[in-house]
Amino acid sequence: MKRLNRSRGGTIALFGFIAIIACFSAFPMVLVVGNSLKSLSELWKFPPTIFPKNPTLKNYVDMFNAMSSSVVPFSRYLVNTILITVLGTLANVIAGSMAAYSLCKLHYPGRDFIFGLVVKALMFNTTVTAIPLYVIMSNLGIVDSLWSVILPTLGSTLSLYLIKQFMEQSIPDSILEAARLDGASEWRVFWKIIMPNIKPAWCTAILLSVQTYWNTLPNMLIYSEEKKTLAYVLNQISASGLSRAGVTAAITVFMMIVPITVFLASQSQVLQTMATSGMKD
Amino acid sequence: MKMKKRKKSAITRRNRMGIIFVLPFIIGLFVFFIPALFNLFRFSMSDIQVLSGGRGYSLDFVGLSYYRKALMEDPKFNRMLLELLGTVLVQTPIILIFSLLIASILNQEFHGRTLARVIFFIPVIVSTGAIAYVQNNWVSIMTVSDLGNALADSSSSGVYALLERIDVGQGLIQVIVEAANGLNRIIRSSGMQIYVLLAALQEIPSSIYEAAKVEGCSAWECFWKITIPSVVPQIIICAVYTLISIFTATDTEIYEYIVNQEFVNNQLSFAAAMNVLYLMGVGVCLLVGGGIIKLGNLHKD
Repeated sequence: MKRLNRSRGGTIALFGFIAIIACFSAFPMVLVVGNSLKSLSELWKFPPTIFPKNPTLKNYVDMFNAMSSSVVPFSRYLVNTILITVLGTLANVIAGSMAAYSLCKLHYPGRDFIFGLVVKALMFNTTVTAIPLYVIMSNLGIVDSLWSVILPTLGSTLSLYLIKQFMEQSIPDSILEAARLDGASEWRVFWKIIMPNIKPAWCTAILLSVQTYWNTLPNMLIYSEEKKTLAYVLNQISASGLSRAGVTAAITVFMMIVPITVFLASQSQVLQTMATSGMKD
Repeated sequence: MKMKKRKKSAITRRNRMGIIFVLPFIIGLFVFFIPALFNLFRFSMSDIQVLSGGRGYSLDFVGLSYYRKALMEDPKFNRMLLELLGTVLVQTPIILIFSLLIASILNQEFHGRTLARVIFFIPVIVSTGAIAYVQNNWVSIMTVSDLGNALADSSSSGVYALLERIDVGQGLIQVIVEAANGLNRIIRSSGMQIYVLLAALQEIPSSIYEAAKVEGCSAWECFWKITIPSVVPQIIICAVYTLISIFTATDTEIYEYIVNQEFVNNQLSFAAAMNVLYLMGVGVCLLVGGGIIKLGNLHKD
């Protein structure tokens, strides 16, 4: 950790700069939270206010009312979303770590080719292949099921890339050799040595993956009402016109709760572990 | 001899495990990604007829005519594709430099450091749906006379209205708005990079800096001779991440245009041809980027 050693003026200028940037970064959040607490008449004021003058929880009440009047019980959407998020994240992180270990520390023909494919697949906008993908899933018979959301993401994931790069840096080959000499199987090496030591990497992977799945909006792939997700129903509620602007803000805040909780739970973990892991050659 | 043989078989076993470990990805790639890509090519060179009664579709081969349409006849596509490539070339280095700058500041000890880190990263994890809209357009939203206009028209007309009230010159208004929007865009797309670089900076032991200082290195020299070389791998990760996020962004003009052709106008083949061209553009960017990284490595040797 570096200590500050510069003139007082320089320090002030530097932190002034950071403060301005931080304002830019935090402002949209503050605005949305503020909007969710405003009454409709205050929302349309000009010049707009940032903090509500007469905070009200009406938007949240409206949101819950709209939720309870949905066609399918609201809990159904919630369960679907939680299922997709948990299964998808687990699959992504475990499969991603395993593949990263394989691509990083094991040697076999075609390895670099596979890694090249994985990185290139990441560059593709999924919507680019939306219709061909739909045809494939329709042939496999998984359209209109939760699998249609989870399975296609297995072939292209940022988790694999991030974990692999982290592994290259932080796990020396010698420790793996030592474990193998002691008779550990690859499976055991992976769970007992690799996984504990790349915790920061998979924490980051969990974070990104939870965010993606939690907000997933599988418009094309799922059409049965009882299989739709939270993001879908909330989108429907907020799509019904400008009079719902306050409710939209409330929904946005509501949807942010889970990703932010996961982030707050993992961030100290990630940065601390990164700072102290001393497994170097 | 016997020893050698046993060693060899252990290595083969390990390699077999390697393939098993990577199998989910290979399956994912070969079941979904590659066939989808193949179908995209096929669609782009055919007329698609959706058969009635859910019997699928039929294809008539028409060669490159849709590519011709996209490149020669369509008034917008060429320009939008070039603009995307321009964005990549300009934004990637700016984002990387900016992230490194912020990460080095955040790496120092000061009160509220954790809060600052949270503030810089949270935009990454909440940037979907309505909040993404606000993140992109708050400069406009804050200044238009009513939110309805902001939602209907995301141009920055409202900012002009406000600045005209303050009565500054037209040219200056333009500059202020562009700068604010540009800064906003860069901050919004740097969260992840700041995070990765910050973690990398924390890995550098402080003893190196102390030793350098004893030897008489200035802060500037320390930055170039110690900090930069230590974080080169992470800079490459960030470059890849930045490219990914630019190419997969859903708020670009070209993306909206293609999606509109595909789902609203039902021009499936035309959209497929434009998608293939888009992918080729991505490919060119990757080749150029890869070339630059290779050159950098050669230079280092």
